[in-house]
Amino acid sequence: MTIAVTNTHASVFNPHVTTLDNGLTVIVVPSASGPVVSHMLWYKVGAADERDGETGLAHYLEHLMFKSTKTLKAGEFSKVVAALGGEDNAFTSYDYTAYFQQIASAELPRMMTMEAGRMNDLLLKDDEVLTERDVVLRERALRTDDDPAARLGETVQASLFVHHPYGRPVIGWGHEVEKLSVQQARDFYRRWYGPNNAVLVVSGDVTPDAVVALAQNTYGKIPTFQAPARVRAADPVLTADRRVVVKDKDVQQPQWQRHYRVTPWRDDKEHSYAMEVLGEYLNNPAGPLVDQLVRQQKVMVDIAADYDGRNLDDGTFSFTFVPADNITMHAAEDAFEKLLADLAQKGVAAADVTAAIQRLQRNAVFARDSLMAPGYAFGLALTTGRTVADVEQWPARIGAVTPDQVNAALRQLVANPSFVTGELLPASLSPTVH
Amino acid sequence: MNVQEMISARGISFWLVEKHDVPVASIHFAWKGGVETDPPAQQGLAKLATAMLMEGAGDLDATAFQGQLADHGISLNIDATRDYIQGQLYALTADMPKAIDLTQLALTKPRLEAEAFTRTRAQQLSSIKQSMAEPDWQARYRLMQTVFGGHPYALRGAGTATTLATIGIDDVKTFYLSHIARDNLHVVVVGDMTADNAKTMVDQLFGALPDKSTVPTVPQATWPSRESPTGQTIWVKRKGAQTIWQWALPGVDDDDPDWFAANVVNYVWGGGGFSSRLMQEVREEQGLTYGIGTGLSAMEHGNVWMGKAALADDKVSHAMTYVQGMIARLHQGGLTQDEVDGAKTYLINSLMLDLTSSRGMAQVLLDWKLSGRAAGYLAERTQGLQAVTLEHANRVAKKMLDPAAMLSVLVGSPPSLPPGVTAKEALWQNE
Ligand SMILES: [Zn+2]
Repeated sequence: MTIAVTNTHASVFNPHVTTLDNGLTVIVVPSASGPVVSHMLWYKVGAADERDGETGLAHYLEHLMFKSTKTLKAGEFSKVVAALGGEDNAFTSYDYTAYFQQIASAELPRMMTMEAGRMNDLLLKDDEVLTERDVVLRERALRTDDDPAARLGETVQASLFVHHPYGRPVIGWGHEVEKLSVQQARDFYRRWYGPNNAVLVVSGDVTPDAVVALAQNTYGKIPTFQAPARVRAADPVLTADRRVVVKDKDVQQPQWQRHYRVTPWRDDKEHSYAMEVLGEYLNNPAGPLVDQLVRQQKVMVDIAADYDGRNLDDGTFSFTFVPADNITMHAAEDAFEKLLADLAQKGVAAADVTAAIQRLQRNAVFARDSLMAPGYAFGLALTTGRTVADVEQWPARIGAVTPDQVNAALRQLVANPSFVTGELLPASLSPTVH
Repeated sequence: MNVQEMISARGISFWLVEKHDVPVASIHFAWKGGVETDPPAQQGLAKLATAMLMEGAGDLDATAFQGQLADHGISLNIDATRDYIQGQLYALTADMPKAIDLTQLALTKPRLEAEAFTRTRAQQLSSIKQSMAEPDWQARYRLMQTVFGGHPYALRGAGTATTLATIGIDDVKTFYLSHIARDNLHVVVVGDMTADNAKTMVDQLFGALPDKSTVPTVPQATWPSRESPTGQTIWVKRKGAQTIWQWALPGVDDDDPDWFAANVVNYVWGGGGFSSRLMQEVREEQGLTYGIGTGLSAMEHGNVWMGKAALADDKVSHAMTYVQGMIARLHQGGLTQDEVDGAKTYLINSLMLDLTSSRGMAQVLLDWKLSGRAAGYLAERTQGLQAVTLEHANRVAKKMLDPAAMLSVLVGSPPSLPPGVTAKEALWQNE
């Protein structure tokens, strides 16, 4: 049986798109999800936009957005949402910071009033700002400092991007976070937060006209500002071997990872779509990596592949595996490298490419079975240099990828010198020596 | 949400919600009897047995089986939880016939090849080793050990290196025979499917299963008991970046007349995210933690009210004292009318957010079905929550929130403990 996702759904969400006079992009996706709405506001600023010496500031400000504004007390935003039966939260990455609420659709006007309020009216009071810095340091301790695997991931990232700000942790380096000041938070807020540097996505039980009218009455009243250009240093091509090892007394299960720095979507879109198909092909539990290395050769317990091209700048392609009990890390790594080289030489079969494409395209239908999926898809796209059309035409673009393009992408990946290898080891084991 | 009670041609009863806005469907199913029925010497059996259902069936070996699932965009997960074996099947409506074929093949003709068994057991062992590196896992392990003592709820769901080594393929076969039958099966279907379609598919999926299960009975856990008293502090010493603190108080059954009131108290105390007293006072006002919260766990054979926080080592003593004080305040002074009203509104209205996707709705309904609720429970739940008065909530707070009953586990290196607290040392578990 073949499935014609590409033909039956030429587009994914069929959004209604408007730009307010002050530059705010408003995207509305009505859906039959019950009497609820998802309200998501994305700012085109993230950790990669921080200045040197102030790592963690974008994420810290995300926390501070829940503090006092001209009309709300500290913590009141979330309390109001909860008291109306809604959920709210926020998240920060390299290229964006996003705030969202899911709530009964009747409460949308209130959400818009409050979210528009903190776009412009955040007070950033000294005592609130400093207490929250302790919370962020606790978050760092929980997520990274106390987790050997996360510490390895952080160091691999820092070693892969030695010059571009993607090399810094989103949560910031501890020694800089603990010194972030009220003034830095105020400056960052003024520099980056405003309507023409944001994207609003509303999905669920709504009509486009009503949402646009509400947006006009709330966000529409905030003046345009001069948003800075997002200029970031580019990484050099480094050809030296980079291997990072974390040894820890708590670790019993060794793990291995390799991250490649790859061409940004912006610079070669067709290549990026081919990488997406390659990632799907390689990460398939019935694909060659798992079948050969785990099931046939039995040198690994598990292996996964992942292409992440959803960035403004460079993408990454990564592999992670857990070596089998009686196999050295060295032997498992050799088996992995040999298999990847063989695959690149032999090439991926056309039928496997078609199957991978169809697996990816189904996701466009599954995405409609989710209240927040439009918010994530459009927010991510529009804060990383893409357009609404890039989201809507994604199934067709993926469908246009050819086996030749996938094989070229694989050969390029195997020959790519910009990679870092990471090993997580028990305190008693020695790292791989080549 | 219109929940229809259905009976298939072969007599399998299930719940159906037709939802035709997106061409997808979710079938969530469960059998009663999960990790809790593992023999103590074979801890990990239920999880290993369910994992083996994904390792090939009929003419399809593991790679072919998983390849067919992937190529048809079928997501199939089957896992053993504490009380149940739970399955989730999700696919485009057009792919549902194939999804049904593959799932019923796995349930009736799993291949159970020796090679796949050895590999799956090694994967389970590897994930145990990864879990044991987490201080959070270490704290939860000690807490469950102490609360549930000799009861099966103290068992380790994934097993240990020693117990996994004693499990053979025959044990897995015996497990299927005793657990996977029609008399302990619960099914919910949500999505783009008609009633007739759903009946046919449910029969295709489960019609060929044996009639009767022989799941071992699990006794009721009573806590506190003489073997596992409340009011202790257990300390696993570890040098790290922080201290993990987990605690437990006796819980309440979800059939208890106090259930809804207890949910209101839990929300106000620590279940309500940023709105809870714990988050407000310990995180927002004092910056002592990134996350602190509580949850009521009502299981088939026992109940517990648990909480957790991650703290800087040198703030542990202060935070513990502070939270103990908060419990005492709730115990004596109770809640405010505003707090009760806010909790009720949130608990009633936020449920809608879990019902926006077919998978979310199927899981909510399956959980209800497993805990013996009627198909119309949504209205019953709303009424039950609406009926909670300040007086009732305060009575529950008084009864359940006893600071002296709190059982604490610490994993970390706090320089001091609250005055009067003596901790019993326990070792970091590494096998
Ligand atoms: Zn944070």
